[in-house]
Amino acid sequence: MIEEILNVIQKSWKLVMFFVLLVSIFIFQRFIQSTVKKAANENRIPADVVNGIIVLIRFGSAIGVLYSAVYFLEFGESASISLSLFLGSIVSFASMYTIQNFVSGIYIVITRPFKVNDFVKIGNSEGVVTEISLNYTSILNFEGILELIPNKRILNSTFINYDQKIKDPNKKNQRLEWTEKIKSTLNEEEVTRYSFIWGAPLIDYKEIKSKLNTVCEKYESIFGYKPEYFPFTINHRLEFCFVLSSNQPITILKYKTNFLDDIVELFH
Amino acid sequence: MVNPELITLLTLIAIIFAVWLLGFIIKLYTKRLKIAPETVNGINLLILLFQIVMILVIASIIYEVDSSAILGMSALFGTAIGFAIAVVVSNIVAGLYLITVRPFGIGDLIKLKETEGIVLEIGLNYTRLLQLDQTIVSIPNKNLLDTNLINCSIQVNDIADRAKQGFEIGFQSLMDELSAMQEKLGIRDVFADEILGGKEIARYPFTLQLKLNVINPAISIGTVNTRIKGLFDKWEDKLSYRPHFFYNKHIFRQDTTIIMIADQPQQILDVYPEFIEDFYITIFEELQMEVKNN
Repeated sequence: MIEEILNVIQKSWKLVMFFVLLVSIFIFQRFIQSTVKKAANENRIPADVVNGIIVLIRFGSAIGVLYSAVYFLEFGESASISLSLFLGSIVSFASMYTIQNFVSGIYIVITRPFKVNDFVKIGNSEGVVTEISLNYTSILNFEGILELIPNKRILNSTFINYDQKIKDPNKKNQRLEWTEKIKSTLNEEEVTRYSFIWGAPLIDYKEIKSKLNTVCEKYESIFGYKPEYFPFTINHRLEFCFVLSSNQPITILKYKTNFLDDIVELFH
Repeated sequence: MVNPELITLLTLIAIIFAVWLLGFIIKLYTKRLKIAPETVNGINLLILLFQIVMILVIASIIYEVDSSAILGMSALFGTAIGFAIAVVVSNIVAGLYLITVRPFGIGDLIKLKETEGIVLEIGLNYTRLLQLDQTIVSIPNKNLLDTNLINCSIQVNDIADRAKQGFEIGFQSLMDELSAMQEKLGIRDVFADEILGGKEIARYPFTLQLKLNVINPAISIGTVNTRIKGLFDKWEDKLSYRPHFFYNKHIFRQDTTIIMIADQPQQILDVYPEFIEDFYITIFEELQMEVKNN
């Protein structure tokens, strides 16, 4: 009698273990969930992390249940391999976009098309680069707002780096000794040359020029360089291209709008 | 008697610790080097990836994991990483394509949908253009393969070929100018000659919109014609080629396309602002103060 019971137990041992495991996974999951929620209520964990953790736990337990079913119910090795293949391909395809952002981030860091504190235009966003992380590049724009651009988009969009290295104009001689060449590359100063377009009304050209000149002279001391301008195209207005140069990209970010305000005020 | 499984476990732990320590030391060292913060981020990630791969490889060696399992895993990771890297590699392939097919060369003046400028560099990732305002714009090579492109730098031979088909704007006057040049230099045949036949010139088209009713009564097209003629006479001397123009559609303003021709693309970039200035003052003569006062 006892032997028979033992026999049955031995036969269904794995089945029992499976159920025990299921229950323990369930209890474990519940326990962690309640702890996390409790911690969130006491403000020990930020609220946005809680959902993420819970989702992860649920996924983890689902995968645990699947694998324990394969193991304890003896579906065989091929079942476990196909299960992992199935899960693996889901995970790898799903993580493709994330990985693409990572790869693009690494690529940007290595090729360095721009660096932190450069004034850039990427696609339609303009501003000073404040951070290049592995997922996003953040740009401080004219509105004073941080704009996050996914690295993958940066790789696919046309960009302008307004920061230019300007060599010491006194050393124009090309045939320098190589030691001096190195020195001159060290002496290179970086100047931000930002350009934008604004259309003046169709009036006397000399008048336009004198008005623009007064504003440009006013801003020479602020930017450190005199703003330049040249006629760009003619449509319902006479469009000018303005070039603001400064040693500090932040200065341009700060005063470009003021500069344009002053010009607009003179004309209208 | 010590359990052999315990020994392998201990070795694994020791190796994991060693790999971690190695990464830690490298990170410490990079911190001291005072590299830019974005580079440090990248280096840290690379170290982490390297550590994971190394630990996986060592663990699989110690536990003698079935090679087919490793194969399966690496295939999966390979797919994910391969698809991800495709973004980067596609730019490099596009760069190689541009260099081989040569739709444009370095020093050519090209026009794209949004930008235009002189090609400074065809790199593996980006092509750099020098724009009118002297800023340098970088365009991903992949995008260049995917967009309409006008190359303003053109060989004189090609213009002649097209003229044979019966259409080439301003070809006759260009030929006159070239033959005048030929006479001056004493060369027999423009096209047989290496100097002039292989000659490349830049023909830069752009459109200006003329608001002719800006004054009352409006400026007539006849007046504009004579003014443009006078202006082009002056610019023919400056550029040594006569610019051409024709009218386009008229919606509120008269669209006028102008073709500037010069020996070097850089010349066009240099004189363009002066040309616009001159054009504005000449065409809208009535707006200028001096004329008003007279």
